[in-house]
Amino acid sequence: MPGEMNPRERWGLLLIDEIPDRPPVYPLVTSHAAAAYGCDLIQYCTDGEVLAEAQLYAQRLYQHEGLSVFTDVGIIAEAMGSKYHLREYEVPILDSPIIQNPEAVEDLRIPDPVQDGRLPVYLEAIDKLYTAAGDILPVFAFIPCPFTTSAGLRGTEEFLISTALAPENAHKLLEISLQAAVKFCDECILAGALPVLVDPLASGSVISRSTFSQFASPYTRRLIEHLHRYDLDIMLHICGDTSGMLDLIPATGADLFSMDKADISSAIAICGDKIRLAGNLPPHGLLEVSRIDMAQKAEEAVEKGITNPKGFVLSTGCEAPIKASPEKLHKIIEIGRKSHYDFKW
Amino acid sequence: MLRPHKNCHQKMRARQIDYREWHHLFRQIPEELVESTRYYRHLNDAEWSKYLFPPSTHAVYGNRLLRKLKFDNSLASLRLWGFAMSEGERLYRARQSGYRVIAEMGDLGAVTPLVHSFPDTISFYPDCLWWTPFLMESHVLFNEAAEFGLGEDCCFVRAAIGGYSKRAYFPKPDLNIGVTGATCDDMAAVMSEIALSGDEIHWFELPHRSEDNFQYSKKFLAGEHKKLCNKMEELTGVKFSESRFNDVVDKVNRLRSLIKECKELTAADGLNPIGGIEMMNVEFSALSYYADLDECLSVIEDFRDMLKARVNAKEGYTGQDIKIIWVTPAADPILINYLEELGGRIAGSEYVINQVTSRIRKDCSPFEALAEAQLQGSLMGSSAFRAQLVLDEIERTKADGAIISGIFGSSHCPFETSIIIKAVREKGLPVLAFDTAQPGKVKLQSQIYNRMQAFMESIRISRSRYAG
Repeated sequence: MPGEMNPRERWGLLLIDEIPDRPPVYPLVTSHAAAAYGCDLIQYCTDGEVLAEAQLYAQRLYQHEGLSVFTDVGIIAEAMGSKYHLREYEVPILDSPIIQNPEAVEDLRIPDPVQDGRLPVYLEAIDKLYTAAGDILPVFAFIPCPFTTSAGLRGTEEFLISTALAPENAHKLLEISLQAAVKFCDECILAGALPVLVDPLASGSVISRSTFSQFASPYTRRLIEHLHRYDLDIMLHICGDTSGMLDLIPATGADLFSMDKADISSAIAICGDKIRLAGNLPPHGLLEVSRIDMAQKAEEAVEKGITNPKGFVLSTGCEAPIKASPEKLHKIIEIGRKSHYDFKW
Repeated sequence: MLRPHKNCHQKMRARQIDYREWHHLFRQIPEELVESTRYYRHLNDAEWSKYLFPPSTHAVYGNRLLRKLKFDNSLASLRLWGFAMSEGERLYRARQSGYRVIAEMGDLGAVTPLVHSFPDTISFYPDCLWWTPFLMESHVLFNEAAEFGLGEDCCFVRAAIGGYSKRAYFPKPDLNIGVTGATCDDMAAVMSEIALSGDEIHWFELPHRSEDNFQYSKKFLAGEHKKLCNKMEELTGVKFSESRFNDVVDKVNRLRSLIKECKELTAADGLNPIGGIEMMNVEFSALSYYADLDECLSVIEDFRDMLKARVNAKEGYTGQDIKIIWVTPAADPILINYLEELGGRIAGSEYVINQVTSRIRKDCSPFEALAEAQLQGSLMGSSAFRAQLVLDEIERTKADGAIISGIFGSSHCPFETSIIIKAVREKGLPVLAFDTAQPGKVKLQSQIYNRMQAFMESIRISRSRYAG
């Protein structure tokens, strides 16, 4: 339609503090793209071309406003030596962490994104997506934050224990995880993607405010500082309940906060003048069996979200489930696309 | 303030590098330099005003061609690129900071000093959106123009109406100034569509220039500037001030003389000191100063210093020894890289912006002075005038040949190209003329490359014969 903005234009305005015609609609269609496309998750997670094709297919199907390169949060830890179990119909899970004792940290090396683990899968997918549609759609590469990667290197339980009992070991691990993330981010940028930082383990559902402030936030902040040096606008996604740490989010330096379980109005009141918000439709509500009225949720989210002074993106609180109902996804996207700002030109 | 002596890459051999290498080199630039390189410097708390960033930053936001281009490796060039590439955001930031934003369409540029003499007012040139489809390797703006009936039979400047329609490339201008009369037909069609779509335009008439009616044209044009001045007074609520105008003219003359100096340095004998795309960015700064005159001056001065240092030290790129005059700006910048890859260098140019090259006089009325400068415009008179501009450039630079990158559908190209070709050939020099291919037309693009290759080979062979 003449005069209609495309996603690249809409996101572009949002990121320079301008009001676009409406909020971008960007549910996190990641592994669900594989299901929509008809491939299994092993193919999706190990073949960049398949990942790209699936993303393009899903985007054509749903018309959401961004391409997402994401397989799992262990992508960096795996490239550093941890073993992950790939499954056909579920996302990969940690099988055996590379660090079995604290001294082994010294043996870790920063992976080469061009050849180690499945990092090249990301780069291939980004390049293909950027080449195919990068003028119209932003390409987002989901990069695990150092806190989450450290858990993948040491094992979640051991790592969390080390933050309390051997903080110096935790910091060593976080430091090398940070360096690995910096290097990987650089390659993703060069391939054409904007990094989105994901830190599921830094959730308020898992750790305290104090642990977040001491171990998660400082390394995320340094990673964002590196990316800000290149003038990139960075979205931080934290899964689970973050309602108790919303005031701590701006200190990470993130430009957008993609939130899961927290009230949008509270988030606006606490940090809406400092950060753009994305969220936060309940992902499980997209399952066929769910009785959650997703249309109502989407309308509520839009109504609250568009009042955020720094801007809003209608999204899901976490990844759309692999078995999400296409009808429900269509519905929330349709509601988002009907929303509008009081845009005057 | 960035100065060459602080240039951390000055010790590096001058060469062209890709976006990947710039991304890594960028980390070596001291943080304080990145922090202090800002536009709108008087806005002290503007956290968004930094602009010294590598091409990879702009590539991530969709400027896909940057992944293919070759860039000069000096810090001054990086600064120039960052400044030019940030113009779009700068227009929005200007509006957010309370500036008036004025669109100048058609063969203007000559009115910019007048516009900038009003307080808190900046301008931009929507015609320059013609580079956007090429930088993004995209048809978005062209497709949008097609919705208004402006298809492939119209010049690439049709991208401008896409910008107006999409409302996502610049803020709504406080005033649109459009040229009518002796101007490009295609842009005239674009402006008509913009006006028909509801955007009010202040029409500025350009008279046809000829030897016989020069004085009349000058008087007429001075009247057009006066009318524009009245419009600006009405818009801003501020009376025109000759003293403010003179301050701006001093700066603009300084800018024009810096650009001229850069062009002279570029044509110097010896190694090619700089890339043609960087020089094109320099030349186009004269139109609307990339929306910040003070910073623009500093950027171009820094660039001139770097060039001067290179020429004095006999530094430059190796293997680019055939001097070419480029006629009509390359809408697709990669064409310039092709030339350089084939051993050529752009020693001079005629980029249809001659109206912003001469010094503005200060010993007559402001409107007369602006009119006189504007009457040097490349396109407002006979094609013979423009052909002479090309011959002057050949003479000045001792060029080996000329390349004319035309635009299919552009009204003036088919008529004047043959006249320019004839004039250059009569001087005994070879000319290559082609139509620039639209983004994505890979096969047409490869044909252009082949023709450039043959052209460069023929110059080389002819040189060796004469040398023998």
